[in-house]
Amino acid sequence: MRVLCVLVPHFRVAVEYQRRPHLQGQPLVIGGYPTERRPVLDRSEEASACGIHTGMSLRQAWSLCPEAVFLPADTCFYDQEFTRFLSLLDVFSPLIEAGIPGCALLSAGQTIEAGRHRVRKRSDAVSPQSVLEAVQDGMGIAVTVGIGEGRFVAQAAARLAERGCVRSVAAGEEAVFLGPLPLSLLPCSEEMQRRLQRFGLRTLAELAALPLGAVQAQFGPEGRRMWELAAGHDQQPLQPRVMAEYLSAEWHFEPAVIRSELLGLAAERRLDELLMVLERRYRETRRLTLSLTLENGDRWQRSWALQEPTHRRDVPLLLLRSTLREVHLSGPVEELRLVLSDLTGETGVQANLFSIKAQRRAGLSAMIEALTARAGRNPIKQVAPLDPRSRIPERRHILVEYRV
Amino acid sequence: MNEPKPIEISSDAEGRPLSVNRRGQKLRVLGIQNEWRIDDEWWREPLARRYYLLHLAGGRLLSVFQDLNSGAWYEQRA
Repeated sequence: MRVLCVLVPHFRVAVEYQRRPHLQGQPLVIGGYPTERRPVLDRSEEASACGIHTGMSLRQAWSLCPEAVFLPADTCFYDQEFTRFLSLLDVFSPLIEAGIPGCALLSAGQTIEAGRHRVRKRSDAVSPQSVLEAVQDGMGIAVTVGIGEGRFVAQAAARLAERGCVRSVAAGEEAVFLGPLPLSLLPCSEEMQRRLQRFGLRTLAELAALPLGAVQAQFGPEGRRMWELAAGHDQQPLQPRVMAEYLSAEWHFEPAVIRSELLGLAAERRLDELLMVLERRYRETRRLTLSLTLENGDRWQRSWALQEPTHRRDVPLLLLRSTLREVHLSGPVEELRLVLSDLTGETGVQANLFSIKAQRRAGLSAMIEALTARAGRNPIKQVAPLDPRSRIPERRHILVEYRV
Repeated sequence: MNEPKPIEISSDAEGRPLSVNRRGQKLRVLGIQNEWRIDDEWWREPLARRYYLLHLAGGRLLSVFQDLNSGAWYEQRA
């Protein structure tokens, strides 16, 4: 299966450069500030030249390159841009596998076999050049495209391609292409990488030259998979992304606001609107996401996974109010966005036999008050024991006025 | 609560129920499941009752008693 890989190298850095063009050319580290105990999420090529790599601590990165610009990870912005990136590819193929941010895989051939579903599509093969131009024009950032037999070959080709170029590996040339490449390209654990290097293996050709049985005996199923990839045998089908159903609503503040009460009122209003739509569709939600866009360009986001699917306002409203009361923002808010996702059909709730007792009592008490006011007396009676052991049946129990 | 209700019963010479006239319907007594007597409150108004647990035609069980002071029959859950 011919697979096409579209790759934006250092995707987070690329979209940050788009948002903050003045950072171009400077060493940039994304993941947080040097004082934070977090790893480097991404870095620019200038930062890489200083020895910074993904995964190292921010403090260590700062010690290697004190003049680098450190930015906190704006996850919701990166997710939004990645979704936009994937949407540009929708016109080329119905089956797109979303990889790490900035990487997408799609079938390049006419016959598509993905996962458990076999989809036969009578259409022209995807043009890699068209894909490259569409994404570059749509995103405004340089991408690379790789095409080859299988996902691994396509991804390796995309990583080795020049920016703005397509690299194609002809069918049957996989072993020749992959041979000289380093083992670091393999999608395996760090422990596996170390073990392979301890055996003196450096390139994919050296790994592929070993007998499969010996590799599997030494490294297990993961080793077998790595051997297959190194030899260019990648039959793993694409896992198409599932378009998640969601509902969203925004509120724009003009001028921007900082008071939590106003944010709470806006969130409550939008929540009611979304829940009304949800109820009309006989759907319930399991995830609530609140995003705030600040006047200074920063973003704040919080997401909750609800314990049970719901279409009621009590739990989501409580979460929103309590969070907005305690949130500390770096500036006024100009946009509030509420998203209800992980939608599901209406579900029944298994009631707890004992927890509803108090609710029933409260309801019964209210009803008795209403009846007493109407009838002048309490008409509800209850059976009370008088002399349960009496031989005379009518002396065992008595009817008394019911009291909650 | 569970006050005795008057009921019409025809009995034999020994005072055993033979049929029950209940809600306008006459039901034959197929058998007597159980029988017992209580005597109580001798210090007040002496109470003497003979209870019968009757198996009626149609399969129903009915608990009745005869007030031995007045001779009247009553229906009551025992």
